[in-house]
Amino acid sequence: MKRRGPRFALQWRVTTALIGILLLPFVLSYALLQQVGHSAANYKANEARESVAAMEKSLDAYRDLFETTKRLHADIADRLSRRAQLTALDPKSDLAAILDEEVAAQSHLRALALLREDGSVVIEAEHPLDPKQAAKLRDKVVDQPLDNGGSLRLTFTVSATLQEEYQNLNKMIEKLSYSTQIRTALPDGYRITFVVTIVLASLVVGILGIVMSRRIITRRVDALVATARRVSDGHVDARVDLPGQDEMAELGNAFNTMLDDLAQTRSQIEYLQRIGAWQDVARRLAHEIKNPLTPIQLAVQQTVSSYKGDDARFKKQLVDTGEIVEEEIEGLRRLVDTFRTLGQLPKVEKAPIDLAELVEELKLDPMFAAKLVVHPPKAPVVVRADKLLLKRVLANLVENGIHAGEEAGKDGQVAIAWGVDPRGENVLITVDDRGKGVSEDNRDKIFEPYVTTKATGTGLGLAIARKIAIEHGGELAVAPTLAPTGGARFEISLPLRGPDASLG
Amino acid sequence: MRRAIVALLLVSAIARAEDDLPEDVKMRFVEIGPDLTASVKIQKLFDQAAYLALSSGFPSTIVVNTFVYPKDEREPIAARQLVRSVVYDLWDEDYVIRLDPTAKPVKVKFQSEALKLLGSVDGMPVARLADLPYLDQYYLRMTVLLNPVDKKTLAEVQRWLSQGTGGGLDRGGVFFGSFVSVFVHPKIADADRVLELRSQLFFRPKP
Repeated sequence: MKRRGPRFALQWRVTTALIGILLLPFVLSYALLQQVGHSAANYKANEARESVAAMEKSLDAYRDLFETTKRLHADIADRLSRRAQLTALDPKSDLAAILDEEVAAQSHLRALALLREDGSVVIEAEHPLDPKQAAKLRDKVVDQPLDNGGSLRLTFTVSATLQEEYQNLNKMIEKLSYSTQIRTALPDGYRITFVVTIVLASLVVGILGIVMSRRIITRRVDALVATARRVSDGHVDARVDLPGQDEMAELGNAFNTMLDDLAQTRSQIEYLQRIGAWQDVARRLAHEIKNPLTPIQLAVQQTVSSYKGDDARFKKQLVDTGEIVEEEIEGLRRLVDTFRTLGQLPKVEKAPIDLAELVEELKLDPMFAAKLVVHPPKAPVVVRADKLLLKRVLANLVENGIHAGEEAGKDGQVAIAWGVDPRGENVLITVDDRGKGVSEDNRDKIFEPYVTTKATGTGLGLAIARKIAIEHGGELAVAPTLAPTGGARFEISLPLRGPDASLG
Repeated sequence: MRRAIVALLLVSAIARAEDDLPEDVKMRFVEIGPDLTASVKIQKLFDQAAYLALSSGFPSTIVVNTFVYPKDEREPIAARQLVRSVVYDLWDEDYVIRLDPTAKPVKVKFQSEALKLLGSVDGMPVARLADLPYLDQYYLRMTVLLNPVDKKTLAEVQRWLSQGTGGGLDRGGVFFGSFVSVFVHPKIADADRVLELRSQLFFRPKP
């Protein structure tokens, strides 16, 4: 017995193969993706770093602007504080003129005030703030101490939004910095995404693989195995139903055909065995019955002829008895002849024969000549068969057909046709009569010995005919449907080629 | 060798656990109106960089989160937040401090003054008195964050990165970008600096 390894289900193999096929290119592209991801991220990160560096320089420029402006304000304050009239806190100082001078010099000075030591105003001058610019500008006050203890208050206009812009720039740097950090983390994100995608895809493919392989292959293989087991358990009529139009469905059909053939062969063997048994019985009966018939007939004839008496009544009775006995002996002889025919069927000796010629020979029989209608095929069909036996089969079927038609009250015409099946393996000969047909119940029974539907039949003709057909490797059967002629159709199938071997 | 590795892992685990331990700080609790208030001096919040950044002209934010826990329990029974900000006015050269988003800004001239104000938590409501039964023992845990990362800004940057230019033919990219962004975990710190403080046990005496 062949040792079987651990079972690895077909569907798992298919699924594993599918996942393997899917994963192989992805594993390669994973490495590629990692490389590309890092390169792209580094490139973008460097870009961002450069932008940050440039922006940080801009921040410095902003700081410089603040510092320079404040220094400029301080310088202006220092310069003005040295003016004698201002140092003296002269209330007649022409601050307006000084202011105009400074505005003309674009120093953004808007207001000037001389303050005493206690903070009270000695004199002041001011240019009103342009309302259109009010939102964008603000005052920047510089108090410049004077030598006499008082102070000079200078109010400059400065940008109200400069610090905000400076802060926004810093925010942008912060964002870019985050962006750089995120970009650096992006390849990991892509890698994880890739892996997750592949895992999900593998899962989907795996599940699909299992489902599809189950649906397409394994479930049907299981059905095939189950049917094979049922057949081996004795359920010879079990058949598998594999839907679809693929190889598996074809395998199922071939499997069913094989089972059909096996069933037919088995039925034929059983049939031949039954016929064989009947042949045996027939041979014995023929032998046992035939031998005493002649002495009985002679003894009765002698008894009848040897009576010389005057009793007319007795003599008549004796003659009647003799006639009855002779008649019955004749019947028994016919029966014995039939038994002998069944018991002494010759062996099949095949030779190539043209079916057209065989049928023409049948027509030579005057009993058939007027009744037989032949429908030959366009091309001649030659089969390897025993001419005498096949002729006997056809003659039996034609004779039965004529009787069936006549019994049905018709003209008793019988149509015979033949042709090769589409696969070119068998030849099918059909014999159609105009009788009442064969009921479904009788389709198999009529081939059993001593079963007949005719009043004068022995019930052996069809049995012998089927035996001959089977011994030719073929079959004789009644078609399930009526013939076009309205009666029964008998079909003889014979192998067209192949070995001579047959069940006989 | 194996023992050495195990010992090393143990030491590092203990060290990490110690890092996470809050610093015990003496706090003062006073009942004011319906609330229990806490006062504490926060030190060590500003390191060198933060100290310098204070006068940079950029705003600094301090977020104080407080959680009141019953003794030996892990679930807080009260949580409050205080947000403070400071910005150095580069024109006027003074520190503009908001001790509470709703409070009037305070201007101080010197950095030390600013630090003192920012580091003093005075009378911050930490729980409703109604939530604190008498005589039960509690402790307060305080998390102080200096310049916490603006989640909105971060989300905006992530959206910008994941969505590209957005719309039109780039929609497939948007979808993929969004998918990828789920798995992007940049190592961005929660804040410039984080302090974890824990108060002594306290209870409400019966009146």
